[in-house]
Amino acid sequence: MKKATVLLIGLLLLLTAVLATAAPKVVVKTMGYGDNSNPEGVNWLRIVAAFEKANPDIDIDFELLYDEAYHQKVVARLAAGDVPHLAYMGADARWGAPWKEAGQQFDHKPYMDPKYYDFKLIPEMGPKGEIWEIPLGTSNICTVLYMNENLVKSLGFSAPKTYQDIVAMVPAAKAKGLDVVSIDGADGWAWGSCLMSMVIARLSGDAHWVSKAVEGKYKFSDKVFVDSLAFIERMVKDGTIASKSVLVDYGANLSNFSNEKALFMVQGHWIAGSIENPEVANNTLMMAWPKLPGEKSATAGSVAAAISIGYGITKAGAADPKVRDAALKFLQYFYSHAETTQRLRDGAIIAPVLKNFKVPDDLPRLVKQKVGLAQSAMNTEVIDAFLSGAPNDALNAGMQKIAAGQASAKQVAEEVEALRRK
Amino acid sequence: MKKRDYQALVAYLGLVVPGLTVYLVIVAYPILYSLWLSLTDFNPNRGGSWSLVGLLQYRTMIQDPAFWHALKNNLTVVAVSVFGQIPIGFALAYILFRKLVRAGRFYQSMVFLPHFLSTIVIGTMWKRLFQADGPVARLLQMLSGDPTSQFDLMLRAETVMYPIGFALIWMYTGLYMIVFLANMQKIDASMIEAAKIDGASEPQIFFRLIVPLLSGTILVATTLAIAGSLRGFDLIFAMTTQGLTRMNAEVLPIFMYRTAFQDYSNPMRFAYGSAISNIIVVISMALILLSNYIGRRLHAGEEH
Amino acid sequence: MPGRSTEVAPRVAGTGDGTAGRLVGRAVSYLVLTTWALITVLPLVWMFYSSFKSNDELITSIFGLPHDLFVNREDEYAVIPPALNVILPYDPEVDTRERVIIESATISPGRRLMVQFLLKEKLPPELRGLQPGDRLRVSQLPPALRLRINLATIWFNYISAFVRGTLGLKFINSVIYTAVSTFFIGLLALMISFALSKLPFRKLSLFILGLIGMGYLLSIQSVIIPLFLMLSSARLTDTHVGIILVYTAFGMPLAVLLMTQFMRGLPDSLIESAYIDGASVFRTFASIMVPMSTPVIVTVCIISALGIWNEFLLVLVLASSEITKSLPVGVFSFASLMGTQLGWQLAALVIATAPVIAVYLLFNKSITKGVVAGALKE
Repeated sequence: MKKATVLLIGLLLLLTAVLATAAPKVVVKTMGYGDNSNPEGVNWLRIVAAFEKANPDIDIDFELLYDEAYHQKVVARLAAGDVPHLAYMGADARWGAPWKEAGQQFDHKPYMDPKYYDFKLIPEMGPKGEIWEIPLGTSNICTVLYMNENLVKSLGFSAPKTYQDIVAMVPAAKAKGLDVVSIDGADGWAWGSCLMSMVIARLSGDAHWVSKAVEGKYKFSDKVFVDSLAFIERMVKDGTIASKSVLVDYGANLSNFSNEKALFMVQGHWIAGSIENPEVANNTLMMAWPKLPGEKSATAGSVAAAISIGYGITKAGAADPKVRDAALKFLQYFYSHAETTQRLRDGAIIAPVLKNFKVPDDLPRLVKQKVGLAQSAMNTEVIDAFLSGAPNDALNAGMQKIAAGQASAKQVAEEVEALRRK
Repeated sequence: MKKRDYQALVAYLGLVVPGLTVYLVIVAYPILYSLWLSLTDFNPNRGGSWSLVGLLQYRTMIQDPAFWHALKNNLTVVAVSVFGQIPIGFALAYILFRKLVRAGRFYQSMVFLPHFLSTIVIGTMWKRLFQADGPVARLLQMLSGDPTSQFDLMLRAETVMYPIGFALIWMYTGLYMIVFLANMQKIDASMIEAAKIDGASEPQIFFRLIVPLLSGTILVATTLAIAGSLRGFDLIFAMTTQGLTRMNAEVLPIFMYRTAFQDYSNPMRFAYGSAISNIIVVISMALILLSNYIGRRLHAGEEH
Repeated sequence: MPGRSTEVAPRVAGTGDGTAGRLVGRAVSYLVLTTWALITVLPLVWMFYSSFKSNDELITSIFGLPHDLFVNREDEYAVIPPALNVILPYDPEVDTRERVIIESATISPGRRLMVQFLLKEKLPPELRGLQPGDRLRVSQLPPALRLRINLATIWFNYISAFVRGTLGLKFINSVIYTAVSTFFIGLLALMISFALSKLPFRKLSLFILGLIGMGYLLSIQSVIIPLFLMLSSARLTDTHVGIILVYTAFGMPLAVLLMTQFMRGLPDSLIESAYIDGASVFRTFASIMVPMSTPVIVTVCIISALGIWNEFLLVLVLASSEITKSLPVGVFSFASLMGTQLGWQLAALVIATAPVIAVYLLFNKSITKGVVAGALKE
């Protein structure tokens, strides 16, 4: 009797499987962002597998790429007319431009449940308040200063309140062969996004200085920007940033900090989850930069933050209602409370944009700090959200040259302004 | 006679057409598209209407200082290839051919091996070698006694091509060495014996006998080297990081890639990019024709 | 070579560079070659042994020999509860046996990278009741599980790279692309080269040779977008057929150039006599030209195969789904800008490089003989 039942159930299962696979599936062509060695990629694979299992009539036909390769493929596909239905996109100059140019941006607002998403936390992306993509979380803070508390204490100091406090640590750090502030200077964008965006906002007192300069209200050759660039010179002279940082890349920067070879690290909030050494990770303080010399009080303690990137449906995807609904269903799953909590834990986001979100108590210290930073620090603009192409390239390379002692702040500022004007 | 001619034509076409069709179908369209695109203001991303703008993209390119910087770097790469890889490859081939060292086969393998590796592997490797406090930096610190010295040749536009040139030579010389070695081994051994009997020294054998005999091969190798240098992208791209180092070492293909794929502020970037790639082909052809011309003149001059 | 004098140099008396010069020459040669060999071999050796190091080791002692992954008897593991990011290697609905899930506390703790699933029925009684939060050491486990964890730890980087990067499938794809494309390149180029070098219609041949040769001047970036456009409208993107077509087309120029050059140097006499005997063109091709061209065929096959095996950009753009991607793309997915698992990256690089080196070393003799004999003729 038992055997017969098992056989029957088995046959039924087989039949269901056959029927399920035989039924026409809705295919959602997707471009996912992730890498085999980071949580984003690993989670993506898991989420898609789980979603497809729960929804056998939907096929998420995705390709998972990262970084340079992702942008290249987006360009190639859009130019060839092979537009994906769903993709990882943003709303700024780097992440939103190709979609905007191709006219593929789609307004998600009518399809987002205001009881589920907290619209106060989701910035407006389009001129009429459209929402082009559902951000993974609240804006990404790019100019975090990470501090190794134990290391700093061991030298006899405490958390700095002003830039001068950091300078005071230089002799003791040098005596022990430690770097004071480590930055991945080999990556041009790090100088712009993770440092200069904050400096210009602090020194100008204007949270929107960059966008105004791009529009023409200010000039990049204005004194305040030159002074901001000159701050790099000052840091190198004071010894807070080593000239050799221009040879340190993203991975090396992280390992310097993880291995306690540096007191401070400059990067965005996203790197917090990658600090391997639990000793360091549990004793890291994430803070906004302390008071800079000459900063205006209007932007004291500010951090530069960029609209978080997320997944969005394209116009091509929305054209077919079946595909659109399937994609929306996937997004609902992707942005579920459980997945968002996981993202929070992994350090992929700072804070969720969902309503009635219960923050678990057992979050690691770093995650809690991130949420605190998001709630307390004033947000200002990130440079490459507004400045792109030749002027941005020149600015990034220019800052590297300043750090390496090859160019002056004034030269770089004028070069950037000249290119922007063209 | 006519039937034979007809048969010959059929056979000829039968042999040529299959391969030629595959080639033309895949390659012709991109070339023609690229030519057409460079004469318009079309943006394939945006679609929509377009108009012919004549030589606008080319004029923009000539006025763009980044173009000249990339061209200069590219010519440096060509020079490194033609005056570095080929002579060194030739010399190494000679050393192995004349058995001036033992374990010739081992060294032959070692020199040829880099060619077998993918550029990602090599680029990553060299990047790690040159990074801050990396192996090369440590070596410098030991040699100079200065614990803060770093390998910063890649940071300055004037010196960036030294490490890059070094990596290029390391990677590609093996191919030319093998080609030269092959042709040397076809030389009649009795000629070299006769020369030795006449009392010629090693350098004399090298310059007066071997080099002239292989002049044709040198020319073809030069052609290949020029073509390869102007379209090579991978190694330099992998060795540099986006920012200062890559801008310093930017060669024409990387310049084309940056403008077409990354410069979102320029709506005509695809057209501009195709103008750049067309110019790369033109420059390649010009250099190849030039080297062929020089080669023929030198060869003719040696016919006594 | 008409007009070439075989007299090399007049007897030069007392140039004085006899033995001393030869010694210096020898020393320099050895120095150059040995340095070259070292520069080639050392990084590869480093890459190989470093792929067996844990991420921590790679960061702390970049040159040291691997240790952590090999000495893992006293590794600590923490018991963890099932969670979203704990990916089960089995289907819980089918396999309902209970397991204790442990995660390494020494290798990348907290990141869910080194997770083991221990069947409760195989554990000794005192370990069966472990709860999330408890810790245990590998030495406490029964021998069978110990061995399994031991192996999994030593090969951690390779297993991770292979599984996460689905390198197995990509390896097979690379083999398919390389083998099939090389075959077609060789075959089609042979046919064309024979026609261009030995058959009449000289002017046409020259034109076609130039046409094909021009293809060698193209850089991949410049053709990516129109190529993608064209293949997209033919519905050939992301298919094996499309990729093989593209590789074949782009491999033609060099193959045709080399083969034509070689065949031009072959004596016409054999072909003349076959013609007089009444053999058809195809018969001449098959039974005379092909065997005589074996050296250049080998050369072209090697160069083409190498180029396609290592090729990265074309397949990156043309392949979208995992089913069509090849090995270099898989390797690259570990080498991204923000990749922080250096160990996996190195393991992936070794997986991609080892077959090439193995083939190279095994067939070294025949390869160099093939290249040597088949390369450009004077």
